[in-house]
This record gives sequence, structure tokens and C-alpha cells, in this order.
Amino acid sequence: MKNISKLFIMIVVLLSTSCGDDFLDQSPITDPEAGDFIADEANLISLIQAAYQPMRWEFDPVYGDSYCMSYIYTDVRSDDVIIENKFFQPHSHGFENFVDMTTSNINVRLIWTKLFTGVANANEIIQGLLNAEGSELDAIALEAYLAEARFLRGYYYFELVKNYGALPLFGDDPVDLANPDAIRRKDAAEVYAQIESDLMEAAESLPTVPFEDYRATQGAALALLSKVYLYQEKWQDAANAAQAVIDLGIYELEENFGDNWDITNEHGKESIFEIAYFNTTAGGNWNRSAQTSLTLQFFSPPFTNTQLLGWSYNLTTPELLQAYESEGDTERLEATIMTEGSSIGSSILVAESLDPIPPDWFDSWINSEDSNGLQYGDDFSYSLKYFLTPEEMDEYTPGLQQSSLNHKVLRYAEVLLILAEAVANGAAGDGQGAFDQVRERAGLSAKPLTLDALKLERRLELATEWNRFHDLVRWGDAASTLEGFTVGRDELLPIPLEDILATGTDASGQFILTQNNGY
Amino acid sequence: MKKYLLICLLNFLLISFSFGEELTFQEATISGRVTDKTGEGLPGVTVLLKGTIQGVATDVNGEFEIQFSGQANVLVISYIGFITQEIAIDGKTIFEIVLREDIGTLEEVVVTGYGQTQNKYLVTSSITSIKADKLIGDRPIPRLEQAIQGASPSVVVVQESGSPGAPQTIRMRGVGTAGDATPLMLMNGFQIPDLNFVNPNDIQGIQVYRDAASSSIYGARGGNGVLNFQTKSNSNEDKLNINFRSSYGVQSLAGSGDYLNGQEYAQYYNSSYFYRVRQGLSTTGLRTPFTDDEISRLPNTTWIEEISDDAIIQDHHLSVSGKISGINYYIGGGLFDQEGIIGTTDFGRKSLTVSLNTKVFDKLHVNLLGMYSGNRRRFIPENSENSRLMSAVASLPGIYPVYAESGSPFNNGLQAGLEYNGVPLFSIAEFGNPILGLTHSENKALTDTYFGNILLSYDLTDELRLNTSYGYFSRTADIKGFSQTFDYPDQGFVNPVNTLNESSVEEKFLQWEGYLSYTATMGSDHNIDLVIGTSVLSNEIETSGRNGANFSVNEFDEVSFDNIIDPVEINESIPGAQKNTTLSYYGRVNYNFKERYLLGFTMRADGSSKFGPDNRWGYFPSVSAGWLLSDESFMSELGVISLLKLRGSWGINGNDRIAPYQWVDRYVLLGSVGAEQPQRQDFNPDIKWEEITQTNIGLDVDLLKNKIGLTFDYYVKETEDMLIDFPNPGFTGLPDPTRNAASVRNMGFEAIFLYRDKIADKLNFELGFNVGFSNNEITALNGGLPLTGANTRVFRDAPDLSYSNVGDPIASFYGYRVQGLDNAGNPIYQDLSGPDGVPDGQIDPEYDRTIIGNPYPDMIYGITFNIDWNGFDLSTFISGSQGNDIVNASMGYGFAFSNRTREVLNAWSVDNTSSTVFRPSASETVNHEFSDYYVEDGSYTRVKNITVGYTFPASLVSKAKLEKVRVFISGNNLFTLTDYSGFDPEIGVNNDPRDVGVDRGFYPQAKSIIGGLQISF
Repeated sequence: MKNISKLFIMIVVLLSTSCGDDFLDQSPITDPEAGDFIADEANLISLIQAAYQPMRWEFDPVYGDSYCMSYIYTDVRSDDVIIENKFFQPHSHGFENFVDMTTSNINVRLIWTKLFTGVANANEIIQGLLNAEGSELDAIALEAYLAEARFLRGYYYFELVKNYGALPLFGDDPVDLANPDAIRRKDAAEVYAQIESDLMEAAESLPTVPFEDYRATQGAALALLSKVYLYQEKWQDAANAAQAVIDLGIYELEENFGDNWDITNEHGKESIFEIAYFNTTAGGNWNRSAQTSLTLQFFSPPFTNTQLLGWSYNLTTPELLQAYESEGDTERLEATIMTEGSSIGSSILVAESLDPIPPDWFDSWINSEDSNGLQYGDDFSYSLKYFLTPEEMDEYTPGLQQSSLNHKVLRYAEVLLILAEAVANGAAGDGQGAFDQVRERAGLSAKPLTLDALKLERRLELATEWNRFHDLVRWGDAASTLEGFTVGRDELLPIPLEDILATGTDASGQFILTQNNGY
Repeated sequence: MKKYLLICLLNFLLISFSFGEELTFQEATISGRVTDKTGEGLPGVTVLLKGTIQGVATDVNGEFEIQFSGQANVLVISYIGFITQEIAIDGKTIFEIVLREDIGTLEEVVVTGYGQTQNKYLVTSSITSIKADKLIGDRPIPRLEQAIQGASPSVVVVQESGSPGAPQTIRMRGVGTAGDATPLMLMNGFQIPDLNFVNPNDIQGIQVYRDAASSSIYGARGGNGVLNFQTKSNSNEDKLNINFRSSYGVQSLAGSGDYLNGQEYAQYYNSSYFYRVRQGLSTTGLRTPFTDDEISRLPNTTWIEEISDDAIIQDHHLSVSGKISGINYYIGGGLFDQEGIIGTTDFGRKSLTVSLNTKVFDKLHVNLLGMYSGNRRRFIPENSENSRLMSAVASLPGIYPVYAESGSPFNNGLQAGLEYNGVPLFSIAEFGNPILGLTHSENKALTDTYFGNILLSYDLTDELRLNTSYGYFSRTADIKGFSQTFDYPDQGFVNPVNTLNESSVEEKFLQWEGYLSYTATMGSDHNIDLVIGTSVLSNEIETSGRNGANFSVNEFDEVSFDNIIDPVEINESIPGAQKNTTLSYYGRVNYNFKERYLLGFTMRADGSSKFGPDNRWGYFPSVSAGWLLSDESFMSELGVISLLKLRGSWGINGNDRIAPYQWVDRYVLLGSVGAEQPQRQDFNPDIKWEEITQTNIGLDVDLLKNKIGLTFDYYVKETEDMLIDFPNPGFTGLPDPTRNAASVRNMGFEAIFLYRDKIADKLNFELGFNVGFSNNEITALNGGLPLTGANTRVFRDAPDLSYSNVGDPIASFYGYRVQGLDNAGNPIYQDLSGPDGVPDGQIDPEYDRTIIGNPYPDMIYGITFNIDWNGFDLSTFISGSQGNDIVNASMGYGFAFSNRTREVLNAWSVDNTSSTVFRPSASETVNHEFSDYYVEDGSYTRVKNITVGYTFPASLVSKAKLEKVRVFISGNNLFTLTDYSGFDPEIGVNNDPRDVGVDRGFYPQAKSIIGGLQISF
């Protein structure tokens, strides 16, 4: 009996002392530890892929009904496009009529978060590579990856500065988020300076041929840089950067304008940078990890006799139609706007369904409260660039809500127009030649390059490609063109209220993040 | 079934009444005196002639006199708090009767953990002991949480949903933390993650440790209280016991909310239209008002009723216990099956519990417990604005039919030329027909749980016992979800692609304990209990999943990944695994002097792998003291008080319930299946224990020879370094880190009142009432900034509804305050402040929003009332919640053509300008700012259960060789008193303490009528 008790005590004592603090050392099993994670090339590439992901974001279930698709914060604010179907998107009204915009708008908050997540993901790579020691990568590869991350940071900041103005600016050095001065908004000029230097460094070290076809190249960096200069009215710099893209000799215009949006012609010869979507159900949809786009579902007409039951969120305006018609621009019209006789593949669609608005029930969509007094009628049409026929949908995408058609961000035609605009504003260069190339491809006769001609050309060439609103703003034409637009306020979106509150006040009791003018 | 039971009952009633004894008639007078052991006369004692209704009560001196008519030969003397005596008359006429106190009610034993028990009157901490026979034994209970609901003050049990098998949320003494605030749950001393696998029929007792003194020996995780469950076992009885219990019943929809019906909605639409006309607003594009004829032809659908159906609930349980060659055994097996009242939902549980205990070599005690549970649950998405299912049910006006005239589900979405029964209807795309989701998708979870526990105790001496226990818990859950293809071309409803997803979660918990326990009396007056021990805990979780699209099979039960048309369309998730460990040392001393002056100390040290090496260890002491005043000579002279105990305690608990590895600089692979990408975490190397300091003062009083029991507790619970998923501002682009971000104070008062008595000999009753008042307040925010949470799309801009700021309760509702209506019936919001700290004449979200509601109740209460008489028993259980607010976000306020509550029938109009209800706005999409207008009082009183039972007389059942036969009929959730407009005021809490009181469309609870039978052999 004594032996049993001794044994017992021994077991207890042994068990209780044998596992000391070692037992409590539990490191992540499947989560990779930071350490030298980035030193491994496969890991680095996964981080780079993750830095592209915020571009694909369109919706976030976490914030209820919130959308951050490009067209909402661009074309919807312009005179080219309206959201017809208002029920789905009560939180998008403010983008369209300006007066309903508030600082707590959930979409404004999601767009802001999306773009800053891109900045953070790019900075993760930049700061990681700058501090990496003992990386197995050779110096040239390292430079190229660093350049790619800089391109991405420049891209996201450019989207941010266009929409929000002055911004918290995160550069190469890690920032102490607890320090109010480190996170205060910096003037747009300061933001632009970082964008420029990022894109210049990117242009130096990026390859001309991408690692994967959707990833950034030297051409993409230069083209984006020219656009960044254009927005700052640095005309000669813009012209030079655009000329540098032309001089690469890699890009040329498609013969047919519409081929740019042919799903079998992604990353075609005219394309400089695209947001890539894939024919996969991986990542699901209606979330941040989607590898597909909602454009087909959102933009399509409700063809009740097919599986293409679209939601009509992106109708083009009569003014846009008018602009094409008065210029006699039929080729681009037919590739941009769905009209009677548009060639969109399937015989089912053409005849009956092309009356752009199904008759009886359409009126009930109208939100009569809409304070900009828009009356929708038969002159509104469906946009066509991101449309797929039912046959294409079946073959190339997982489904209506999972379009795999890439979004075009930078086309060679835009580079030509940037050169032309810079020259029209006094820069040196062959602006007229660039301008003529674009018109010639559209089947239009040459005309002298003037600023007005250029503005019209940009509209017709780039319609529904998410440029129009910011063009109007930088040209100073927004107030005269857009109903409800208030100068000094509506150029920019409000800074999300939740972030202002969550960042708090400084020692003087003032909010650290200031609000934009007029909100 | 119901009818059958009733007939059964009646038959037996008749039989039992006809078994009277033969009457004889002799006259005599019997007298006597009833005293307690000190010789004091006891007044009011019932003296009854057995087998008759003849009886008297003793007078103030304890004396009685009774006419003896000869038909009985036995006196029955009963008095509450004393042991009932039967005395043969045998011709005697004068009796001196001494009643002995029924120490059973006084010496109720409380399990204090670690193999020790204490007499209830010696306990210095706040422990509620729930005996299973009353709360579980006599009524059907699908889930163990329900046994606790309302049974102990300040334990809030909220049914998260009425969906069968849905977990329930337990909160003790307010909300101590904004993280996981679930109390620690123990099964025979072993930590278990939840109660999903437990068959309530196998549970013997539940101890609720409310204060720090009772829970801090559990240190880690004990901060939110401890629930200690004991399984049934055989307590050394030689006799073979067989118990069988079976119940069967029908559930149906308990309430359908206070929503407009179809015709009322059409009228509301009309008044909206006319409002616009009067105000000169545009009506372009709006449907013309419904004519009376059209209104009469509308389908008038009540959606919640259309999608719900009566459903069966049944529970069968068989247990055998006894002793074979010195081994005590208990074996319980159960089958539970509950269909849901909505859609394809159900819950089934097969369970087996085996408990063995024995003594080896006279000194070694061996206790073994094995439990298995196989659960099947089918469920639907709820409380989700994106699932468009339960929220659509509340949002859809009744003007739409469920099915079109063709028989297809009616498409209220994008269908052109919408018409039903000749009435043109506007389409509302936002809220899909819920019948589609209910018909064409299914989710099923299969869970297998194994739980084993061995406890070896060795008596080193009579006082000193060495114990070691080892426990193992393993659970595998396989979840399958499938969406079918469907095609209703006439309604434009098409889903061309079916999708299947599967995921699995494996959990493994290991626990080892070794402890010495010591119990001794020194001299005659010093009593001491001591425990010292150590504990090792390890939790592992592994997850995996995959999904795919396009399957050749379209039936839920048949489809598998073998049926995928193209294997390329399978996405595999990256498997996840995590492990965390805890190492603890603990000790407890309970000392009392003369069982009158009581003292307790506990100390525990916990090391948790969830914190970095410097912050790993937490130290959690507690001290408690009690004084049995009633044992003092000056008190014992006051006859009315049989027990008076004052007690107090102070102690610290810890909380480490966060995801592991927060202190490690790491990446997490984020994203849906097949597209996971590394995301650097905003890790926090300084993360440390959350500490909860609790002070408790309590008073226990038993009055009138234990007829009345009273317990009072007052507590202050201070949480420091509360662990929160801290919301990073969007511009950081960083995920939310877990931080020690706030301090919270919970204060409360708890009272239990119990009154038990007898009327005559045969009618026993017990009335119980318990109430807990609590309030919580944030006392500090380490980040300095309020925390937001709970977002809903139904209000303008989809704002965060809740706000947690210093001085306010956690997750208070935050919005505008409506001052009144303007002359167009639109709200005027109160201008509270401005950029300069004074009202600026403008309504800004920065300055004019304020706290407009508290989702947590001020008071919760439970009322129990039990009577038994002549074999009949009646028990009633009422529970309620007072002062909690709810936002009914199940309707789309922010969307046009959403249904509304019936309140809008009194909406502002030119003829009704005194109304406080906003003017009608059926056709508008914006304009609904979140304000106090939308915060509703969520208080309710609910009759949770009424059970009537009849136990057949022993004399009768013994003829059939049975020990006990009882039949019962039980009604659950039969009545609810509430002003809340939604389907059910008892809404879930999302298990996120920052998202409470928001109803985004829950699966409502059912009411049920259940009949049952209990037989013991």
C-alpha cells in the first residue's frame, strides 16, 4: 500500500514539474511567422499577389450593403452614367446627386479602406525588402520586386489623392500610428511627390515584359506617371512620360476599338495595365477575396428571357449618346453603348430586349426623392464595354456574378491622348500625331488638336472607363456640366467620419484627421 | 398523442380514487403537544389522521386536540423544516411528540470543485446550486442552457435563435469583457467548450459560481463566472435502478410580430402616395394608389406564417444504474429529435453516458466517465443582411403572394409586368422571395463528440487524499452546404449552377490535474479543508474545407464531390491548425471555527501560451469570509430566524479567451476557399491577461423554520485590460489587432426568495423568485477612443449603431435624438453640439449623435411555482428581462417598399398632426437616419414552461413491479408579454458583446406542447 502511495506522489510530482515554461511555448502552426518570410521568393510573390487584390475589391459584406467598385466613385459622379436601379444601392445616391453625400457614407468608407489596404500591402513589401537581410534573391530580382511594390503604392495613392485630396502619407519608413503628427493628412502636392518618385523608381527597374501577364511593367509605370503629371498640369513632364511609353515600341492601337474588351484578347497589344479577373470560383464572390468581378451582373440589362438577368446599375446618359452621334462616331458608340443594332453576339438579345428599358415596371424604380430631378426615359442605354454575351458567359466565366473580363486601367490610346493634351496645353511634342492616331482608329477624320477637341476625344474614347468625372474636375468643367455639383466641395469625397472619430483628437482638442471642405 | 395522454391520466385518476380503505366508526378524542428537541412547543404543526382529510394545527403552545372517528390508526405530524413523523395511535389518547429538524434542507451540499463539497451554510462565496431533478427531471429540456435560464439570478441565458440545435448565449453578472464573455464550463471538473454534446437527462446538478471567491480557483477563464456540471452516477446503492423517460410534442410559431398585413400595407402605400401629392412632391413613376377592389384581391400574405409549419419534438432517455461486484455504474442513453418550424431545419442527438466508480484496496477511489454524442443539425442562415432570408421574411409586404398563379415561386424581383390576381404590383428587387432559399439550399452539420474522464483518488490518511484526473475531449464537425440549380422561366428565377461546400473542424482538448485534498477537524472547533494542485491543459483545433460548382447531381442528400462535372472547379482551402496550452498551480483553504466563523483563501497561478513569455503568467488570489450569526446565542433566541449568514468575498480572475498567437509577429492566410493570401497582422507583443476583480457581499437568511429562504448578493466587478479586437482606422490598411483596450465596471444586486410550505398534509408548494439587477459602464479606454460596432444597412449610410465610450454601457446604441416632427411630418433631430462645443444650428453626425439606448437589461428575473398534491404536480417557470433595448433591423427602413410595423397606421398626416410616428414613406429609399425612433423596448415576460404531471400511487405501481410512474404534459413559450414589434423579443446576441440587441432577422422561437412519461423500475 505504501508503494502505491509513493508511486502516486511520484506521478503527480513528475507531471507537474516536467512541463515547465517550454510547454507554454506555442508558435503558430499554419500561420507563417513574419521573421524572414519575405526572404523566400515564393512568399514574396504571394505578398505581391496580395497587394494586387484590393484593386479587385468591389463589395464587402462586413459593412452591410457597401460597394467600392471603381464606377461608383468615378462615372456615377459624372455626366456619362447613372445608376438606374436605386433600390439596391441606397448608399450610392450621394455619388450621383452630390447633395445626399454624407461623411458617414458607407461606400466612401469602404473605398477609402480598400485603397489604403492596397497602400499597406505594398508597404509591407517595400519596407520588408528594404530591411531584408540575407535574402536569397539576387539584387536585380530584388530591385524588380521593389519596383513593382512601388508601382502599386503609387497606383493606390493616385486613386486616393484624386478622390480624397490631402492624405495620411505612408512612405518607406514605418510610421508610429500613435503619433498624431505622423498620421495627419499631408497636402496633395506632398502625396503627388511620393507618387511621382515611386513611379519613377518603378519605371527604372520594372521589366518590359511582366512576370505574370497582369502584373506591372515599365510601360505601366511610365503610362501611370504621365497621367499623374497630367493631373498636376505638369504638361511637359506628362508629354515626356507619354512619349517614353510610345518610344518603348511595345504598344499599338487595336485595329478595332471594340477588341479591347474582347474576352479572348485580354492583355492585348493596346493594353498597358489591367485589373485581372479570372475564370475561377476560388475566393468566392461578394467578398474581398473574389477573383472575379460583379460588372456583368451590375451593368447588364435584365434580359428576362436569358440567364443574363442584369441589374442595370450603369446606364449611359442621353448626353453621352448625343456626343457620339453629333461627332458621327459610330464605331466607338457601338462598342460603348448598347443600341438598336449593336452587335453583341446572340440573336436572342438583339430584337426584343434591346429596347433598353423594359416598359411597365421601370417607372417604379424611380426614386422620386432624387433631388437632382433626373427623369429617366428611353434615352438611357446600357453600357457595353464590360458586357458579355450569354455564350461568352458560359464559356469564360463561372457565372453572371463572377465575370472574368479584366478591367482596363491604362490603354495605349489614353497615353496618346495624354501626350495630345499636354501638347494642347503648351508642351513640346507630337500631340497632333498622337491625336490623329486615336481618331483615325475610330474611323474619324483628322482635325486640329485644340483643348476642346481633346476634351471631347477623351470623353468619346474613354467613356465608361472611369475617367470622366476626374477629367471634368481637373478641367474645371464640373460645375458647369454636373447638376448639383458644388464647387469647393464636390471635387473630393468626404473623409470617412468613422476614421476621423477613430483617430481622435490631438492635444488641442482638434480632430487629427481634418474633414474636406464643405462636408 | 396529447389526447391519449389525457385519457390515460383520467383513467388512472378514477382508479386511484376508488381505492379507499374500508371505513369503521369509533369515536374518541386525542390530544397532545408537539415540541422541538429543546422542548419548545411548535405552533402551526399539522396533525393529520392518516388516510383521512381530518386534521388540525397546533396552537401557540404546540398543543392540539383532534376528534378520532376510528377510521384511521396513524397520526401524521408534519411541519416545514422538520422530518414528518407517523405515530401509531394504538388506543392511546395523549401524545408527547418531539419533531426533529430536517437537516436535509439545511445541510444541502454544494460542490465547490476539486473533489470537495461544502455544506451550503458554510459556504462563504456566491454559489447557486441547481438540482437537476426539479429543473431537468420533470420537464422536457432540449438543451442544458435552458435548465439554467431564470434559475439563478444574474445568469442571463439568451436563446440565440429558435433554430433547432442553435447554441445559446450565457452571460453572468453583466458583461465583463467585450471579447468572449461566456462563463467557464466544467463537466465533472473538466473544461468543456460548450454544451452542444450534453444530454440534459444525464446531468445531476449544476453549480453556478458567481463571485471571485468561488471561481478564482479556476483562475484563467473564470472571470466571467463558472458553471460546474455533474453527471449522474450511482451513489453506492445496491439496488438496480432503471429509469425511462419519453416525451413527444408539437411545436408551432409563437408569434408573428407586429407587422402590417397586405391590405394594411396597401393602405400605407396609398397614404404615402397621397402625402406626396399634398406636399407637392413628385409622384412620377409611382404606381397609382390601390383601389378598394384591388385591395380586396391582394393575397394578404403573412410571410412568417407561410414559411413556418408545425414540427415534432421528441426526447427519449433510458438510464440504468446499480452496483455490480463493488462497481457503481450509471449508463444513460438518449435520443433527441427536433424538427424546425421553418424550412429544412432540425436537430438530432444520440447520446451515451457511462459513469463508473469504485474503490480498490479500500483506499483508492476510481471514477470513470465516458460520453459520446452524435449530433445532426440542419440550419438556415439568419441574422444576416446578406443572406436575404429571415430579413426578407420581415421586410416583404403581404401584398405579394408566395407562389405565382403558375405555381412557381412568385418573383418579386426583376420580373417585368408584375401582376397577381389582376392587381398590378410594383416590384421590389431587394428582398427576394424567401421560399427560394428555403427550398433550394440546405446546410447540414454532423458532429461527433467523445469525452472521457478518469479520476483516481487515493486516501493517504483519513484526512489526506491525493487525486489525479485525466480528461480527453474530441469533437469532429463536418459541415456541408449545397445550393441547387433551379429554373422557373415564367418568373425569371434561374440558378444555372449548383454549388457544394464542405468544411470540417476538429477539436481536441486534453486536461490533466493532480491535487491533494485535506479535510480535518482539529480539536473540536477548528475545521479545515485544503486543496493544492496543478493543472495542465492543451487545446488543438484543425480546420479544412473545399467547395466546388457544377455537379451532375442536384439532390442534397446524394450530392458529393464525386459528382462534380469538371474537377477543375474544386477549390481546396489551406488547412489551418492552432494549439494553445495552459499550465496552472492552485491552492485553497477553507477554515471555520465552530462552524460559525468562516474563512476561505484561494490562490492560482496560470500560464497561458496565448501571451508572450513576459506576460504569460497571471496570479489570481481571492479571500472570503462568513459569519453565521444565527449560531450566536444572542440570535438563536429569536425563533423566527433559523439561518443568518453574512458573507463577503474579494478576488481576481483572469481571461485569456482570445485567438492564439496574438503576440507573435506573423501572417495570416486570409480569404475565401481557394484564394487565401498572406496578411501581416498588427501583432501585439505586449498583450497580457485581462483581469477581473470582484467584490461581493452576501446575506443568506432562512426564516420560520426554513419555510422562507432569502439570499442577497451585491457585487462590483471591475475588468481591467479588457481584451478587445480593436478597430484600426481604415487608413492604416491593417487588420484589427487584439489589445488590452478598456476597463469596465459591472455592478449589481441579486436576490433569491424561496417560500415553501404545506397546506394540510398533502399539498406542498414552493414559490421561488430570483432577480438580478446589473449595470455596466466603461471606466477607461486605453486607446482613449470610443469603440464602434454593429453595423446595419437598413439605415441611411449604414452607420455603426453601437458605441462604447467611457461612462456608458458597452455597445450602447448611438444615434440622433428625435425632438419632434416638423410641419411635414419629418423628424427634427436634436441639435446637441457643434464644432465649438455648443449647438450650432446644424445636425452633424460628428456632434449631434448621442447614446440612445442600452441593449443590456437592467433586470432579469425568474419565477418558479411548484405544487404537488396527491400525486399531482404543477410547475410553472416564468422568466423575464427588463430594460433592454432592441433595434428591429429586420425591416429595410432604408429601402423603399419594405414592410413596416403596424405603428405606421398612426403615421403623421395633415389630419393627424399630433402623431409622433413619421409621415408615410413607402416609396422612398433614403431619409432614415438611425435615431431613438428606431430603438424599441425589448423587455419581456415569458411563461417559459408550465408542466402538469401525475405520479401514480406507489401502491398501485408496485403491483406492476414498478417504482415510479409519472405522466406529464408541458407547454413551452405559451405566453409572452412584450412591446417589441419583431417576431421574438428573446433575440440572440451574436456572441459579440459589441453587437447586441440588433435584430437582423432571427429564427423565432417556437411554442410547444409536449406530453411525456417517466417510469422507474
